[in-house]
Amino acid sequence: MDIYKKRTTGFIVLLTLIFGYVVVSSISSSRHSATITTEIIPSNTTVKLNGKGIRNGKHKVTPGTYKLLATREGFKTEEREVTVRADEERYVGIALQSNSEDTSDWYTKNKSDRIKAEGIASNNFDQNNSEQAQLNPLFQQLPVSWNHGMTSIGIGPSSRRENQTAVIIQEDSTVGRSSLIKWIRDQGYNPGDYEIEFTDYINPALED
Amino acid sequence: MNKKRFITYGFLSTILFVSVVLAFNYFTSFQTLSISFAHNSLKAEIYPANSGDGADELSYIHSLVESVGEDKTVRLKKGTYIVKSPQSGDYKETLTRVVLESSKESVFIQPDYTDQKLNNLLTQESTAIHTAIAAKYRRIPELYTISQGKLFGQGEWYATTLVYKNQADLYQSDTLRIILHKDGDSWKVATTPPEIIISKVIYPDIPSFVIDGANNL
Repeated sequence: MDIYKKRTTGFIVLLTLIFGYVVVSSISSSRHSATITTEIIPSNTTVKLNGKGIRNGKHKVTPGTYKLLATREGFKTEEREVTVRADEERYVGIALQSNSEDTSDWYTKNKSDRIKAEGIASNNFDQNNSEQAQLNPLFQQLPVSWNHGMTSIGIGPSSRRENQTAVIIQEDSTVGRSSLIKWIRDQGYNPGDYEIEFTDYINPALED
Repeated sequence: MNKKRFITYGFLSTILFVSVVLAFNYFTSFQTLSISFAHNSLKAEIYPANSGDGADELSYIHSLVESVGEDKTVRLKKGTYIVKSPQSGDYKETLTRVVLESSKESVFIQPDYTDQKLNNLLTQESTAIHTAIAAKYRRIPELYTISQGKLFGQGEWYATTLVYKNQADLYQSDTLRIILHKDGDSWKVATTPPEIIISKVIYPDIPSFVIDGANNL
């Protein structure tokens, strides 16, 4: 009798475990994972992701938008909104800037943090470029030029949006500019999806 | 006897377990969709959609899932649907793609006006629009011809081209584009300055179809 009781108990436990596994795996398979990698200096900065304290490194999260808050006495608080899609890895690097005299030369005095700050700037630049290229496949085809370089379509820093890239069109004639817009369309891109700056064009509508 | 009982219990437990799993999967395979309307003359039809193959708008025709004539919440199998609001009076047909997954979704049916209705409105609004452009850029009427342009949506967006009058100028005679938005009773220039191409990244608050419409005038 005892042996059957034990077997029955074991059987039920096994079924419960299988059931639990099925439920958990069906739930987890419906929620793709994503990763947010944080690198925030100086050390001992308090970092919160959606209000929960975290350390520098990789954090598995469900896809979505998160609020990242970095605070440390003597430094300006940084708040970022971080959006990650399924199976995406997103890097967030922040070197907090001083807001008091005590910490004004922090990165000069602390060699280790200075080196890390340079690395963060480099990683942010790479990530920004990579994102821009992914978002704007046209960028991967540029620059192109005609007429011995007198006419060109390239990319460069936007004059209207900080840290963003714009398509730069260099061409002084109306007909030429129109042809270059047509060239963008002919490549399969919608010019309206990009910020386009015309270096050789003075907008008459703005003249006084 | 005990062995028989053990086998019976085991069999029943397995049946129970499988039933629970199936029931769980069944009940979690549905999601809620709320549909509401901007106007009570509108109605909606819900059709299943093929996911992401670009044929969604064509594939719904044969299999109506539900027809909705008033604000209503329906429970549907998880998946992708097309909510179609057929043309009604001054309102255009609209198609809205909805993905029902882990969270409840809602669709607010607010169709654009038909082209005929928008053209009628444009006749009434034309003077006010030209006045607003001239008030913002005083040299535009002098340098450019303001084309007839087009209203979008429910008549709250307007886009037009500005054609340079001196076409002999080879360097500055680009056609510019401008978008205005009706704010209450008055029109305001929404894209400053007028440009050769209006960019969605510069004006994220202006609907894409309005910017595309302006760039294709």
